[in-house]
Amino acid sequence: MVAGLPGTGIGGIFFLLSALLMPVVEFVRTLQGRSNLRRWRFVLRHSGIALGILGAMWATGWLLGQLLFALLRTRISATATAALHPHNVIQAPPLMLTLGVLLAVLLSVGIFRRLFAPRRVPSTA
Amino acid sequence: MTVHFSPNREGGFSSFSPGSLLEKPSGVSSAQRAGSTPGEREKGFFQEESARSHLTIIVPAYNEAGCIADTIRSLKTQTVQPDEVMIVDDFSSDGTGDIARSLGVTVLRPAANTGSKAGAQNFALAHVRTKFTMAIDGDTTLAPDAIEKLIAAMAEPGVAAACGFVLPRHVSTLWERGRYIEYMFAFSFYKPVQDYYTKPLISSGCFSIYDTRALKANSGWSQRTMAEDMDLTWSFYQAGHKVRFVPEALCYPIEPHNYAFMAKQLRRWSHGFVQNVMLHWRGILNVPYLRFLISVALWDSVVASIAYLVALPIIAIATRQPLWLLAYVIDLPTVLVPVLSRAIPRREGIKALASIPAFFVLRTVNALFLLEALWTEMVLKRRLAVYEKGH
Repeated sequence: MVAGLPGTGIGGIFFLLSALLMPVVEFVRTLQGRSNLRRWRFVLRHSGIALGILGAMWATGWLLGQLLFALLRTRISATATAALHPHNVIQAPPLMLTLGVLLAVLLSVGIFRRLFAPRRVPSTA
Repeated sequence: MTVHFSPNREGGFSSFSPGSLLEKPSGVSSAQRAGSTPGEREKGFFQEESARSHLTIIVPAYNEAGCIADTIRSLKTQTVQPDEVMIVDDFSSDGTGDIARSLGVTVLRPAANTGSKAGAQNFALAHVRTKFTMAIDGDTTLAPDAIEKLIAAMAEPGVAAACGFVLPRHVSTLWERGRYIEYMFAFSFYKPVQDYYTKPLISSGCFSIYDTRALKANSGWSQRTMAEDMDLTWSFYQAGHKVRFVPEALCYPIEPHNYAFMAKQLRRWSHGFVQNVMLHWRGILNVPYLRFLISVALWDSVVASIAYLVALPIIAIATRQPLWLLAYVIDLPTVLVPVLSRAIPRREGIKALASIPAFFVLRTVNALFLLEALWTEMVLKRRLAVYEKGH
């Protein structure tokens, strides 16, 4: 068991994307005749979990936005907050940043592979 | 399913399992074979051979007197019985070997403590003659059909190892609860996704089955790192083998119940992870998906750990906005959704919800040990080489 930090950083996004990609991969397998009902049940379950995670994150962000706005209104006058609206604390820019970091890490792996991976000797058999 | 026991020469037990997944049962007795034609005798011999599970279980045990009996009993009640169970009494001082012997299994005792779980397992591996080898920790019990489920994965061509779903046996202290959520999350979501892409990150050392030939070709479990299961799994991938995860095969190890034992285990795991990255990094660059898995895990080990332990508190203090500390729990849904998806069908929803706070504590402690391991191994170049048990 890896002593890691599940659910945090780019790891969480990586697994979410991996799970969301599964139906696409399985569809290709189906066209190739390499799938079955059991595999599709598995794929739908775990991509469903991924969608559930995304939905729950959005809902958490929305709820926190509501709570923060309510907190703000207790501290600042109603007039000052009249023009404000509660918003989801999970914003697009930080998410795009995380995605960008993930992409950078994955691209770096590709570069490392080109530079450092042991060369595979082709079989002469 | 009927299971037959018979004592073997070494005082252990071997059995025929008519319900073995590998072949159909025969029911041809020795007496019948003696009176039949050579062709019939040969057929009977192979039929009888095929009724076996072709499995040897190795249980490394150092001072496990408090739990080894539970482990052995859970093996004896399996729906698929092994050909042999070998307990490696790694020079215990608490009578572990005597307890195991009294339960009728083979007990091997090296001349001196081997120094690690890998050493103990390798001591037994030299005696294994079966097609499959299983390693189970001395503090781990199995669900009654765990071996049956796990051994089925070995039927797939190219599979060198398969692992099961791990859940803590006891879930009451803060540390056990944190570990419960960690496992529930990882084995409900991360590991199945890894398996879909045919790259489970680790075949867990507490409960895994191996193709004996592939295992021996790797010289067994290496003692060059603190995480021999990770080392073996990544070595298998580089050798072109497959590793599978079987979520239906359940095992229940005893997890650290207090900080002292948790710290020993986390220190070993963290250092083991870093040691394996340093050892295997070039080779795994050629392994699809695994190279991404490990690079992402390494990045998070560094960046997320620093964010958790340093950046967030500093930002909260500098801006005088304690709301920044919400970032510690903002990903609660990421953890809760997969955990509850597994916990609720097991009627453990309340237990899971009650254990969530402990998970966040354990996660923060994890970050500390990871940073220490990265700093010590990669920067100071000081290797952790002493293996300490986690309970």
